[in-house]
Amino acid sequence: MPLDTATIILLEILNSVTVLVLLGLGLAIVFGMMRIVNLAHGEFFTIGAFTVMAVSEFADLPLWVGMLLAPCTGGAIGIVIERLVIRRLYGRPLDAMLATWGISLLLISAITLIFGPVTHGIPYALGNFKIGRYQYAEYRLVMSVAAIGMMAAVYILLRHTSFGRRARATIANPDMAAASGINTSRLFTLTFGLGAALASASGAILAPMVGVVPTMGALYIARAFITVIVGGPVTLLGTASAASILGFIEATASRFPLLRIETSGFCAPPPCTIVIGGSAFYGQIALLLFAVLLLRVMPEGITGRRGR
Amino acid sequence: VRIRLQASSRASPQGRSVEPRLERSIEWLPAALILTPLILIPFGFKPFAANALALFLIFGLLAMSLSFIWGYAGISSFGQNAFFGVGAYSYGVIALNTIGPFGQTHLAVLGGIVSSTGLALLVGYFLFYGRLSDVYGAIVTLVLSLVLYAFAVSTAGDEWVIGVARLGGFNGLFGQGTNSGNIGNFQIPPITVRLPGMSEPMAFRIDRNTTSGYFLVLGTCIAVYATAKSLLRTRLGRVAVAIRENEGRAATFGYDVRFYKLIMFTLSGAIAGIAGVLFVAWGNFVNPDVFGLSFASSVVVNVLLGGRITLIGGFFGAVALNYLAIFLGGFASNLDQGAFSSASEDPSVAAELVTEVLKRVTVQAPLIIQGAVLVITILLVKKGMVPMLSHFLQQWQRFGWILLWPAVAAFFLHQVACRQASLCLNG
Repeated sequence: MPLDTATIILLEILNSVTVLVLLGLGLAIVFGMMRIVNLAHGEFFTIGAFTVMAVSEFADLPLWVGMLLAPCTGGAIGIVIERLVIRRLYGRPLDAMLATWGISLLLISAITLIFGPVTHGIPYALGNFKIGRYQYAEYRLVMSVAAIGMMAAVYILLRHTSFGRRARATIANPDMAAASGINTSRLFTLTFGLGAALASASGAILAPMVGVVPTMGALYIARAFITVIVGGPVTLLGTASAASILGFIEATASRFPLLRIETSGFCAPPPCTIVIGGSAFYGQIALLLFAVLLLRVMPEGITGRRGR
Repeated sequence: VRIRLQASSRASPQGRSVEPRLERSIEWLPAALILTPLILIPFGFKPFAANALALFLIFGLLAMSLSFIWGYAGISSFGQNAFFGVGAYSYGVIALNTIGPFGQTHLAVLGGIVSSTGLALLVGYFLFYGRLSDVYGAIVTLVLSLVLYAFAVSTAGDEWVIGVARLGGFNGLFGQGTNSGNIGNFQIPPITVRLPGMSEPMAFRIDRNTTSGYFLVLGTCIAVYATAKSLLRTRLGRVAVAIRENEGRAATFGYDVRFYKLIMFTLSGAIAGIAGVLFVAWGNFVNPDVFGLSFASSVVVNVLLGGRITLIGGFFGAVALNYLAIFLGGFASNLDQGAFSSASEDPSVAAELVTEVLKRVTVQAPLIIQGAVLVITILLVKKGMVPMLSHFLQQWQRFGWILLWPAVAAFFLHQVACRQASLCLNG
């Protein structure tokens, strides 16, 4: 394999890992710390993307303003939703999950009502760079840096701040934490808000690379769930390791054709062939298959047996 | 006393049959109350009304496949539409290819049900033998349907052809080519079978003039419901309920929880497949939307609204929500024709704004209704509609006037239908 092809494949793997980290991080925080599967995760993502779109299109401000604003919008909406709905459903994980599904449908409707059911594109200034015969978008590297930055920020927040210590105490033993004076209910609100803010930030970062449309959450939510399920209960380590493995699998499966099947179709040059593998869709299939097989062996995900 | 007697007389040496009767035998009064209007509808309305109701009953059957596992075995699956869609696509592909040579679609019906059952068996094996928790199982099934959606969408190219059936991507499944009598592009055929004693195969069609398709759907729903109900009265159903109540305890008693869950899940996949077959035979059409997120959520919403612990609840939820959607759709088209702004010659800005907002909301209505129903039932009405209704019926059972209910309901429905879509016979 020529050197430039190898480099491009490595970059594609890096990009897959980045996208999976961005998708999974907010969901993993809410799931790992509150044991709530947030089906509205994809919509917080959409909220972030639409914030960037609105700021750059309607207010005519530079992209980074929208990207800084996005987590604030998402976090605020997340906090309101937690106060109104989620807090009534602690201890009923399935009901909480269903309620977030309802919220997700309502959010999709609300965004459609406000912005209309059309796709918005967000122009960005960065160009491409050349690797041998290939071109690669510089913005993708910026995304990787941003993902690493978000992971680091979450690590510092959980390990080295008073909020993080309290949050970890609350997860370890809610009753004891409450007895020692921690306001656990406020902590749950903030954690949900943090998850929503991270999702919105990810949506904002990915927005220039994708079509911004009210139903865009559905495109990403499957991959987000697979990442979190495979990662297991340990938030950061789980997300990082799951994203690395799954990103490798996804990038490989969407790069290399695996199988060619001839069919009796109506193709213009007569022999019709179905190519299995080698497109983004097969990357997702490979992810699902890998996740199902892995869960057969490790039902609690990669970090399942470690405890916290 | 009676229950105790029953319990002691039926107790086996292993002590497994201690459970008293779980369900009462068929209650004739509610059954008559529900079935009479259903059977009478084709005789009182245009075929269109019956055929629309047939679609809602199909969605109800799909919802029933979920309450079968959710309400009776505690298995939540949010991707029942995956089995529905696979059944529908399989029926379509096989029917397109076999309608020419055989003139019947019995193989296609069989193929549709077998493929969805097989998929449920496979998925169920990984779910239950991997001992995934409840929440994970629900997500994995949902992800399955999303991946199938991505697959179905990606099949638009010329190469995605099975025999004469083109998968067609977003455009949906259709036939292309030559297949004895069919030339060019042609639709998926309706269910066509030759029953014993018939010279010609009979097609259960759905169109302006016939309602044979409606009776096929209604008959299938009743048959599947009765079968499921009696299955739940056997040992399988009792063990399933035991697992729902306390999985660990059921396992301690020596039942293989994984096995029983797998059987229940597979059966529910079969029910969803039957609904899928009926669906594609109803509309002669299927496209990737059957795997989509909003269809997946509609199944869950129907079940929650109707009540997840009853089999019949899903039917109630499906019929109620779909009629609500039709009603709001009619409302939106009234707004389009200026029903509200015609009151004054010069509508104020506020009035225009209100009309615009209402119009937008009602056009987006299905998702708003679904979302609102989901959140509200979870927070407030935990049991759902049917348990509430049946509680009400039991309380007032001695009052005979309740028998007037079908007449009242039919009158009301007739009025609504006449107003909304001019469905009545002489309207």
